[in-house]
Amino acid sequence: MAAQVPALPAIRLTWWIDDARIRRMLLRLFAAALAVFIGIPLLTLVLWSFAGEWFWPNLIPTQWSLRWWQEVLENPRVTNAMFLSFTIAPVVTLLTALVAIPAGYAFARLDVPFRRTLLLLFLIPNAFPRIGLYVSLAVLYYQIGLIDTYWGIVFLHMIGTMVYMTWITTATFRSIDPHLEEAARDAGASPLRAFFSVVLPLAMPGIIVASLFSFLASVDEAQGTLIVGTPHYITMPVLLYTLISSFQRPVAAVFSVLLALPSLLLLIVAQRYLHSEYVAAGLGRV
Amino acid sequence: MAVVTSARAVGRPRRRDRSRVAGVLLVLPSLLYLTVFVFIPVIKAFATSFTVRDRDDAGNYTYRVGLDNYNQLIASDTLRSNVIFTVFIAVASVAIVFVIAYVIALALRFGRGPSARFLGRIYIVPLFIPSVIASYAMITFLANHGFVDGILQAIGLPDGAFPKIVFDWKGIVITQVWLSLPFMTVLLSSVLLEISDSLIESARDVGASSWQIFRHIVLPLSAPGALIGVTFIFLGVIGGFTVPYLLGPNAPQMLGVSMVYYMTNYFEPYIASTQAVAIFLLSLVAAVYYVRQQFKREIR
Amino acid sequence: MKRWLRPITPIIAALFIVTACGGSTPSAGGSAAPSAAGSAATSAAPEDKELVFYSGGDTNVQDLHTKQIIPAFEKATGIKVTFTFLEHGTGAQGIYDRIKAQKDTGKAQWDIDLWESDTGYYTRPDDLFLQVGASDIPNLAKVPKPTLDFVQNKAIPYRGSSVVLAYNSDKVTNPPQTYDDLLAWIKANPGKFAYNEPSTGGSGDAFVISMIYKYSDYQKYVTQPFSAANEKDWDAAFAALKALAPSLYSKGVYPKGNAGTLDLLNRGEIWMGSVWSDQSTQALAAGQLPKSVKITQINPAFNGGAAYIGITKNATHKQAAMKYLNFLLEPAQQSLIVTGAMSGYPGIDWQYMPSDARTRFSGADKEYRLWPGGTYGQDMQRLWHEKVAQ
Repeated sequence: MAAQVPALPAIRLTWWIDDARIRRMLLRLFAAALAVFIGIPLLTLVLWSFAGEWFWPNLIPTQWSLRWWQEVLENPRVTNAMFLSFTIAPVVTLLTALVAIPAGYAFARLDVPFRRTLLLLFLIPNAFPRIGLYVSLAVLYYQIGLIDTYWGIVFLHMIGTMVYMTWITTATFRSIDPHLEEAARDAGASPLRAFFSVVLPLAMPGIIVASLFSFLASVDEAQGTLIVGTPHYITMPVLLYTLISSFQRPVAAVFSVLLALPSLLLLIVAQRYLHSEYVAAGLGRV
Repeated sequence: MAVVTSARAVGRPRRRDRSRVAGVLLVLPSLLYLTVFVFIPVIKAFATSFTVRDRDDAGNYTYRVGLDNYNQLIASDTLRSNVIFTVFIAVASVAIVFVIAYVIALALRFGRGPSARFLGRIYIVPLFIPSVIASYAMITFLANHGFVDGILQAIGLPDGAFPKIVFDWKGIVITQVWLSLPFMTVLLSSVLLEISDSLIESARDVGASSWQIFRHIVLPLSAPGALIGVTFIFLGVIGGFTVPYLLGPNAPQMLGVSMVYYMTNYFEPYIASTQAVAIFLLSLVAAVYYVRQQFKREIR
Repeated sequence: MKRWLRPITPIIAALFIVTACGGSTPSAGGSAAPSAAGSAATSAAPEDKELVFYSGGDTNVQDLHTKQIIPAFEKATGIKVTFTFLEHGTGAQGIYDRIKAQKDTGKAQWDIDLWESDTGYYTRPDDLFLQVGASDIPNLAKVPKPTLDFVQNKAIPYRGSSVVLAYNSDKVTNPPQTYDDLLAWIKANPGKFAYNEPSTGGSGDAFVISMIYKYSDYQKYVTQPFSAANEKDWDAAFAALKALAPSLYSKGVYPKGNAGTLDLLNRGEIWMGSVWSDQSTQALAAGQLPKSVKITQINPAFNGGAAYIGITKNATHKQAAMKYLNFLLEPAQQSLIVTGAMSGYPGIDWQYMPSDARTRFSGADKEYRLWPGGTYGQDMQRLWHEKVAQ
């Protein structure tokens, strides 16, 4: 479709976009501003974690100290909480994948009755305020005995991950040419074999992206876990949450760094999957 | 559809039935899960919102069914301003993150140079930072007598002149923008990828300026996909708790925060449920739009 | 104690209440079921040799009993104490249900003798706790009467804390002595005082409560049952609080949580704030607050509360229970509470305490006022938000 280009007057307000030098300069400024916006807040946290003494109006700590790191790392609650957070997240992701991938495939390929309504229903976890769900859920948990249990927390985390998994995998499967699957079936493969050999590998980028979002959503989850996980299951964000209300800034800062580090490592590893092409494939060329 | 050459062609109607059954079976586990853990609590919340609790002078409670809770949501100054505040924040956050993410997405799509590559690496970082940490970082960064205030005062800003950002709506919006940036950018990037280079080039050949290409080609073509990202982020912000709790003012409060206060501190679970339903209804508009957009693309 | 974990305990309490309203009660013991004494209850022999004691709360409560009081008690009396502790006080309702179940089934001797939990449980109409007097526990004569009246003598206040005024002695040489002096100081030193948002921490509540008591009669709240009519007096109090806002920190920013105020004090952002006696004293001892921060109690005092232990009505080992409580109220043991990590007030009157214990809280070693909490508390927080917050 050809755009209708209007007649060009001599000077326009947006002339500078076409000037390569100005554009380059503006882009540099923008990139720098964004770097500051994204990076510096995180940097101040790192500074606070090493702050022996830091009073206003100093711009950096007047005394540096490893004392807070020592205090935190020696605290068994911290290591327990970190372990819990980073072991629950894979379990949640795996369980969600096991449940949502078949659903995604079904929505994409098969004739599911009330398909549109169901897809809309699958969006409800995101539409209803999560915190309201958690409170109702806690009451339910007390009744069926899931309060303060490992699986109670896993099931609760799945609320946040289910939407990503289902929608992204539906879109992923939809974007895969159905002919490929049919060809495999015609060649004699059973539906299951066709799925695993042909469809799944092609869907991998989308599934990985969905898994990544799910994993991060589980690591991030604080509110619900606070309600249903205490007192025995304290994850890192819950611990951090209660710590932010404590007035030792450096301790909360140390925690934050500790919680962010594994995620950032994941970032480096996941870099290649987060290229737009993968995500586009994953989101089914949204 | 594919030309079917095998004997399977004969069984086509049966295959379709099997497809239905298989479809139901595959969806069932997730549906079951959602029913127990989401739909039932949601229905309970709806039911609770229609329960009105009256209190007499001696503190005794009586219960009845009614719309009073909803009346209170509209009539009470506090609650009404909470509703307006919530919508305002959601709209502001989404609008701002849209603009910034779009610039990044454009740079990634059309930019060459080191700046564009740098942007490509950095925009994704907030995705890996849990919202609690991000909130905390923003507090130390933007508070009065915080980092930015310190730098500005070092170069001459008088004490007390720094605007109130933390514990103010601005703090919530800025932090939500920070957190939503990766998702929005990723979405917009993938949308822009669909616009073929040849289309852009033919427009250039006709003599269009970059702005005209953007305004008349890129923007319209990206709109449906972009709006999907917008609604997704909108849903997240409008029902949020952590960020507004840590960064928001004492009053007004976003509905997510207010809901928790009513539930746990004021012991008004019925008003709390009503607020939850209000958020849900506000989100529903966006949610329905999101789904319809998805289906529109399916027809293609 | 409850107020330390404000966000959690009210949620759990509210959930139980909502579930009850919904018609279904959580199954008794659905929460973590602590191990019972195991052995069969000894019959009411002339001398009890055992005691079953359930408690809950923060770890310093656990440490106090397990590391200090119980070993000394066992050594002094030879009575063996079986102690079960519920972290952060969760599961309290389950224990209450368990005691109640024994009453409902007509059991003559119950398996829990002593229970330390939230104040509200002891005066519930189910009547599960024993009313005691100085004839049963001699040291009760040393306990201030209002704290006993508060629970109708059905439990013993063995420690307490209250909200106090913390100030930076480098900047404030003459701290205010009365509430009105404090208000005048705030107006004269704008931006240097803060109290936290009432729903998030008890120390902020206390400042608001003192204003309420200024415009309403204190006796109405501690001697009479709830009456919504009393809340009409509150309009004047809230108007005064709203008028005060421009003189507060950042022209009316209320930090979140008790720790919020301490944080501002610590960083020198404010020079004075309302804080908990034990929280601030512990912080000072741990070097988390500068030495220049001192505490004092104004007149009339900010409110506070006691922590209680109750003897169940049909306890198997009543005598041992009474002995334990009497032991606990001895000035020697009470000193452990004051000077130790707990940094609490004694349950007995300050006049009976040795002088080294009194110096820890010098300035604050006075009687505190009480606040009934409950429905008044919920309304106070909600109305503060509607009328004062901005």
